[in-house]
Amino acid sequence: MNIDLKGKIALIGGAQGQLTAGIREALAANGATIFDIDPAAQDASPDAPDPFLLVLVSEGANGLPAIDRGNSAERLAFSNAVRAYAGRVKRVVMIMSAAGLVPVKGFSEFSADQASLVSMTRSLAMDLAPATVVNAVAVGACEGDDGIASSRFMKHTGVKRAATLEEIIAAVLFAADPDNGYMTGHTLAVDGGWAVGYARDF
Amino acid sequence: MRADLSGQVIFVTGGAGGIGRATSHLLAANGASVVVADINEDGARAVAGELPGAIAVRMDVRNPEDAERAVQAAVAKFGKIDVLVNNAGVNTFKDRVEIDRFPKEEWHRIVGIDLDGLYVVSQAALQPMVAQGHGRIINIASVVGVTALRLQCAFAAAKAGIIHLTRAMALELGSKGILVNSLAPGSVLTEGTRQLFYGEDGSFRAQMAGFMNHIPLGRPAYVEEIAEGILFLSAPQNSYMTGHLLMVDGGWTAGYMF
Repeated sequence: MNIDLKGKIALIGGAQGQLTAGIREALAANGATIFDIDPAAQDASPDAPDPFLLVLVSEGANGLPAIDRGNSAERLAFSNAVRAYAGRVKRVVMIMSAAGLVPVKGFSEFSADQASLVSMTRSLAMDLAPATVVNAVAVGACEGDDGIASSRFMKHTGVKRAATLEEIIAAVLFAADPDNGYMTGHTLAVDGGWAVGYARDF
Repeated sequence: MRADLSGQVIFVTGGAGGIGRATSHLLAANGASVVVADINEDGARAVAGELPGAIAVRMDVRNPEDAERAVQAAVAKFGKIDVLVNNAGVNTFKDRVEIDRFPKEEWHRIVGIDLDGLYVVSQAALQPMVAQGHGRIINIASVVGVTALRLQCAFAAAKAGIIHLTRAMALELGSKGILVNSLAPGSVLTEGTRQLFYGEDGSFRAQMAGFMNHIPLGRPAYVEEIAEGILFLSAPQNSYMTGHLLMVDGGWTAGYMF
């Protein structure tokens, strides 16, 4: 699948890793000019050309932390970055963990912070409408993750494998798609059914 | 977006109407062969006639024999069904009243078409899909199944039922190679809703101005925008998404605008 980002500028910031690298590559392959940003350091720069797309990747998109911890600084930075580009950018896409949809036992601080990003997707969608749409992609087990994240996210689902990078990126592309202009405030789940229910029989 | 649907067979219920027609067109434009199913046979033929290679089938979603016959026609023509779009659905315009006065016939009509019909057609299409070992089902729900509205009790119940049935179906059918997702439109400009927005009744127009203030994007969707969501749920690369409810509602259910 492909989307048309020819002639468009995409900003990408937040956590680095295989997913961010894959997203950057896919956006470029679909025609965008990519700039890397630091979400915490964004001021409104009226002289810079207007970006079409702002992608913010939470460290939660890279799996579970080694020990439970929150990161409210990340949420503040993301909020700051979105507001810096409000009115100029047309698409905002945040990427977080599916722990933001259904919390992971033993990771309450992490899950709550990820859930705050899901909530913020909804409220920023209301604040920035109609010029800008704001959506998110929530990620469960991903190929290449350490075994702990994958096993937690796959334990109750019928899916016997983690998502491939391409499957997660498909959702990111859809959220960035210029033809997809009526979806806003939505979190796309690419989580193998983590947020859906039990695959076992009761 | 563009997705490669060449060689894929899409079965669309309610294919003669707004979202069904736009979906048939968009998926055909991306290479799919389309089966346009509708209780309105002339309408289905008209849409199929607009698309090279498409066929039309008359089908009342409530009738299992109709559904079986329609699925058999699709398989006879194309050999398989890759994607079923359960789009057929109705709501009431004339009976916007509280449940204590909501007519029994209208309850059964709406639940019968919107929810029971979805079960009937899904069961029929699953016969070839399960044998194939692959397939996708896309169930068209509504914001009313997510955020309850007053005076539409049957529609709210049916659409909420569709959303949760989608999850149950996903959990059951995943091991059989079948992905099941739902899509919830909000306000959509179709022939069916056009009378709400542009009808003779001036009081509706006044109400609509207030209505749009609740939608962050401030307008109804075009049917093509709903079809984009259905295209995404059909896209081969989107192969890990199942049990998901895709909101395409202009932000209506994001929260209260005021």
